[in-house]
Order: sequence, then structure tokens, then C-alpha cells
Amino acid sequence: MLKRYEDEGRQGEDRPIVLLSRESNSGTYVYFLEEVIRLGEESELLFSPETLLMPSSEGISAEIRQNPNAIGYDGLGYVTPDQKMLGVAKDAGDPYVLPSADTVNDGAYPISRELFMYTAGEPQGAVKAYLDYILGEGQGLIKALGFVPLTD
Amino acid sequence: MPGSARIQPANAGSARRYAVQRFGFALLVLASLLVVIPILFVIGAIVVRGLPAISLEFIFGMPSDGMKAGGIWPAIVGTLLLTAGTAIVAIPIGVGGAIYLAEYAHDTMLTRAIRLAIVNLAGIPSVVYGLFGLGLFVLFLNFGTSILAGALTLAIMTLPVIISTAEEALRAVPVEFRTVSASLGGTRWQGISNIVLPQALPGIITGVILGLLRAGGETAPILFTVAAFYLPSLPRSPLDQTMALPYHLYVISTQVPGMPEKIQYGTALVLLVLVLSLNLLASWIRNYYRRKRQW
Amino acid sequence: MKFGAQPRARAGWSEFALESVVRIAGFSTIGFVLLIFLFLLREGIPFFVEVPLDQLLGRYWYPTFDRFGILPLVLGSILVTIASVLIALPLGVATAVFVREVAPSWARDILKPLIEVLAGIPSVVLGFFGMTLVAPVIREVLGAPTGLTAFTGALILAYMALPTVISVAEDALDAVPKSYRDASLAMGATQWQTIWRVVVPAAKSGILTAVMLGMGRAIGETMAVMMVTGNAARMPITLDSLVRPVRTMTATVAAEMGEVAQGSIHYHALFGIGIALFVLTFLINLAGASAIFQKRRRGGLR
Repeated sequence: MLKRYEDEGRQGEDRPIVLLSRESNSGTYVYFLEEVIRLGEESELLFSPETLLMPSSEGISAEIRQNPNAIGYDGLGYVTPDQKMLGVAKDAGDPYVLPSADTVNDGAYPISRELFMYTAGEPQGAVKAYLDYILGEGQGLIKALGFVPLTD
Repeated sequence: MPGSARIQPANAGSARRYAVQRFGFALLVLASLLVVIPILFVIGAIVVRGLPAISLEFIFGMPSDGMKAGGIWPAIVGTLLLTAGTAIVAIPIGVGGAIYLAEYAHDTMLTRAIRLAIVNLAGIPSVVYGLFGLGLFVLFLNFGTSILAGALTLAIMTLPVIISTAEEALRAVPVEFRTVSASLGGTRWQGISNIVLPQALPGIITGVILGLLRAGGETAPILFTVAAFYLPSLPRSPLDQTMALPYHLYVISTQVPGMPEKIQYGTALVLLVLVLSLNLLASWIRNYYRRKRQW
Repeated sequence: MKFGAQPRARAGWSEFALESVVRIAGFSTIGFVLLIFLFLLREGIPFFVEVPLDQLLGRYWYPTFDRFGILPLVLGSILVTIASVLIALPLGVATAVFVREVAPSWARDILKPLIEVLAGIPSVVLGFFGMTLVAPVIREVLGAPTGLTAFTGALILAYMALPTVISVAEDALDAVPKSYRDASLAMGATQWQTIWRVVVPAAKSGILTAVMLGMGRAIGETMAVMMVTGNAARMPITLDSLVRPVRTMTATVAAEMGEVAQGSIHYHALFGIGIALFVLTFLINLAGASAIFQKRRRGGLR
């Protein structure tokens, strides 16, 4: 298991790797575990016990901002310009892609998950109004906050 | 008393012993400074970084822009409501229990059981109170996450503090007060209510204030029983949720992206000011009445 | 001795009523303790029933993937608590000695209020301070991978426990009779020698109480540790564990309870941890408080 940045081939940076994650009851945590750590396959792999479980995406953000040893995963909207985003390639040999609303929506950036809204039967009344809002005005807000809006 | 320790021994002894003593005293001073200076530093840092955020709008305004602007009035109100609720429940039971222990109870197994229970309650971790409050008030009694559930939880948590300090205050009143009252024909309760209680009142009030300020500053008991982060309006009934300062500080410092630093420190400052001013009040009451004491 | 005139018939009834009311208030404390314990048991026992013992004492806490090993959590709490007591004990006793035996009254008038102020600072504020200002410093000074460590937690906890330790230690020193000090000085000892060879040993049991109560306070603290220890459920058994992150029992409950399904094993697990905390703090505080039962009574009727 890689423990220091130098092991990873980063010259001149003999620093320990500090792993950050969301709390175990977070959907983001489960998604990352299943899709990134286990690479979508059945396995018994888990986050290392050394992983710091931060109370929220902002907690991850804050530690990354001030600790050069830290690496973590976060929702796109939580990333600020002073943080470094890593490019990810779908398979070995593929080009590395940085995340953005566009690269997520056209599938080039592989680490993304959809959020679903469930209703009991066809949406009606206040529920329908709420969903209409999300699909309409809400998309603009989502984009403004830095998250990824739906494509049609 | 330090006075007696000023007596210099007749035999001056070797200079070495005094050198050791000087060194030792210096260590003690160092230790005390190590204790005290960080306290000043914490308060200082919060004041310096939080003061820029303080304004009438910050204190009395409603939050806006996802909490990143506007005021924290609902959190302040929430904390005041929870503290008031705690007081309403904990003071009668606490003072009543203290009266029982100081004035009525014999030294039986049952009384020792009560004392054991008080020690126990005082030691229970705040998060365990949160679990209890969740299990009993929120779920079992179906109050839901509400001011009622939160205040009841905080009240039970504050009970041991109030009972202990109130009992001590009652016991500090010399026996003579009671004997004189009895010799004048007063019943036991008349003695208590007319003589002992008023004499013990400053001590009791001090204890109550100290207990309440701890209740107001707690986060873990209200995490699962009442606290909410962003409520559009102030609570209207005891069954509503409410915001609260300690929980608010926790959330804005760990969960909200892009929260301006000065708002975090500003919230911490408001909480600190609230708590410390109550602390000051309690100290002042205690010192003032200590001088006016009739024994 | 019963104080109070023989009550007349009507006064007798109201006397009895009032006495009953305060008696109920007194006994309510027992009631509350039992109630709390009962509810913890009710929701927590299923955890101990459903999860086999060898898994329970396992090293891996992954509750959302059905691994409920509480060992890292328990050891995490123990590490942080012991470390904090090791910091608070010398600082607290030294300060208590200073305030009680050595300090001039002007120094005492500054110190005592400040220590009371410390006692009043809410844990979330100290946690906030620790997270934003102390952790980065610790990372730089100690060269640790991250500043969110067991040591950071121990430091903050030590300061939270200090007022308790200092106040109980002070009481213990107070209880040592003046004659002890006078006798020692009369025999030619310096004040320093008197303190450490006569007074403090005489106050030993009270100081032990202070330690136990401080420990009880530390092990039960939630918010401050949650914000500064990094919450990594690693087994703190290596030598460098003090400067590595750690996850305490209290932080686990506080962090995970919010999104747990009522009635699930995870839910019961958190209540199970609550039971463990309840029992632990009970035992520690019992050991500490047994000395309190012998405290001298001043006034009152009993």
C-alpha cells in the first residue's frame, strides 16, 4: 500500500499520504468505495483504517486546503480554486480528464453518480411543483453552486 | 493557609535547599502560566477574529445566503429557549431534591443510593444523554425532535449540578438558624422556607446559573433531540425544532463550504459572550453575598 | 434530631405534603439513572445479541459494511483519555499547589476566576479553536502527517479537565490540617519541602479523586474530540499512535447517529457503545467520588 508520496514516484517529496473521506454513513462514501476502490466489482476491499473520516465535504475541503499531505474526494461544488483537482483516466492508456460539468455529462470523467428522486406514483400537487422547480429554475442554481446540472 | 507558610524556619539551613525551593516555585509559576495563558489566548483569538463580524444585523438578523450572510438570531433565540426550558424543569426538581438531602434525609441506604445516582448522572457523557433523549423523548414518547425533547434531556443532564450546589448552599447555613426557628415555634418547613432557603439563596442561584450556562453550551445532547441547521422562521411551539448556538457553530465550522471565517468566529464569540457573562454574573452574586453573609 | 415544633393538625398535613414533594424530587434522581440505563439497554442489547463476540472485539469498524469491531474505538478513547490525564495531572496539581500554598493573594485573585472561565467555555468552542488554530500548529511543529491527532485531542481534553482537577486537588490540599505544615516548618523544612514531603502526600487520596474525576470528564467528552482527532478508526497500538488520527467512542456515536436507520444493527450498535460509555464513566466516577462521601458536613441537619 502506498504510504508516502515518494513511493508513488513523486520526486523530492518524502511526505506521508493523508487519506480523507466522508463519514461511513454518507452516500458519497459508499459510492466511492464501490466504484473507485472496488472498481465496480464484488470485493472485500475497504477504506484503509488510517483514513480520516471527516464530518462533511467541507471538512475534507478545509483539511486539503491547509495540509499539503492530504488527499481526498469531494463533491464538485465543494472544490475551490485553491485546491488541486486530479485528472482521472477511465482505463490505463486513456487520456486523463479533469472533472467539470461538461466532462461529467458527456461521460469523459468516469467518477460521477446520479442523484435520484423517488415519488410514490406519478408526482402530484406540492411534490410535482417541487420537482418542476428542480428541473427548471433549480438547474440554474445547481450550475451556479458548481455542481453538475442535468442534461436534457 | 498561606499565612502560616510564611514562617521562616529558625535554622536558615543550607543555601541549596532554598535554591531548590526557588527553582520549584518557578516551576509552579510556569505550570500556572501554562494553564492560564492558553485560556487568554483562546478568548483573545476568538474576540479578535470574531469581532469584525459582530453587528446589530448579525445578532438580531435572520440568516441568509445559506447561512453565509445575515444574522444568527434564530440560533440565539433557540439557545435561550432551550436554557429557559431546562431551568423550568431542572430548578424545581433540583432545589427540591437538595432540600430533601440537606434537611430531611437520614443516612440510610436509600439516601446513599440517591447520592450515588447524582454522582452517576453527573458523569454520564453528554452524547449518551443525547442517545437517551432520542430513545425516550423523541421516539418512545413521540415528541419528535423538538424543543420539548431537547429541554427535557438538558434538564436531566443539569440536575446533578443543581442538586449538588444547592445542597452545599443549604448545608452552609449553620444549624443555629434552624434551632432558633424551631425554638420560636416554627415547623420544619417554616424554618426552611423562611430562614434557611433565603440564606442559602445566593449559593443556590450561583449553582443554578452555572448549571444553566453549561446546558446552554452543550451540543451533543441536542444533536439528535432538537437541533436543526437552517430554519426559515423562529419556533412557534415547544414541539418545533429550533436552531441553537453550539450546534450552529459546529455545523458552520465543519459542514458548510465557503463559510467566511469571521462568521464562524463571530458565532463562537456570541456563544462565548453569552456563557461568560452568565459566569461573571454567578461569580458576582457569590462574592457579593459572601460579604453580606450573616454568619 | 428533628427540628420543628409539634405541628397542628392542618399544618401537619401540609408539612407532610411538602416533605413528600421534596422526597420525590430526591428520589427522582435514582429514577432518572434507572430510566437512562433502561433505555440504553432496551436499544443497545440487540447489538450484543446479534453481533458475535469475536466480531465485536474485532479491529475493524465499518458499520455500513457490517463490520462492527469496537476495539479501535475503545482503544482510541482510552489513548486520548490517558494522554489527557498525563497532561492535566501535573499541570493541575502544580497549579492547585501554587494557588493554595504559594501564590500571593493578588495572583490568586487573577488565577481563580480565569480557571472558572475555562470551566465555562463550551466544548464546541474549544473544539473549534483546536480545529482551526491548534491542529495546523501541531502538524508543523511535530511534523505529523496531519494535525488532527490523538495528541491534539488529548491536549484539548486536558484543558477541559483542568478546572475539575484543580478544584478537587485544591479541596484536597485544603483538607490537610494546618498543624501539619506548621510542624514541618518548625522542624526546619523549607516551604517547598513541606509541600512535597508533607502536604501533598497527606492529600494523596484527594488528588487521586481529582485524577479519576478528570479522567471521567475526558472519556465522556464528545464535540471537542470529534472536531480535532480526525476520526480514523485505526488501532492505536503503534508507537506513533499519539501523533496519528484516532476515533473515540463518543465521536463515533455523535457522528453516525444522525443518519442511521432506526432499528438497524448500526442503530443498536451505537446504543451499545452508549452502554459501554455509561458503565465506564460510572465506574470511574464511582472510584473518584467514594472519597466525597466522607467529606465533612458543616451545617444542615444531618
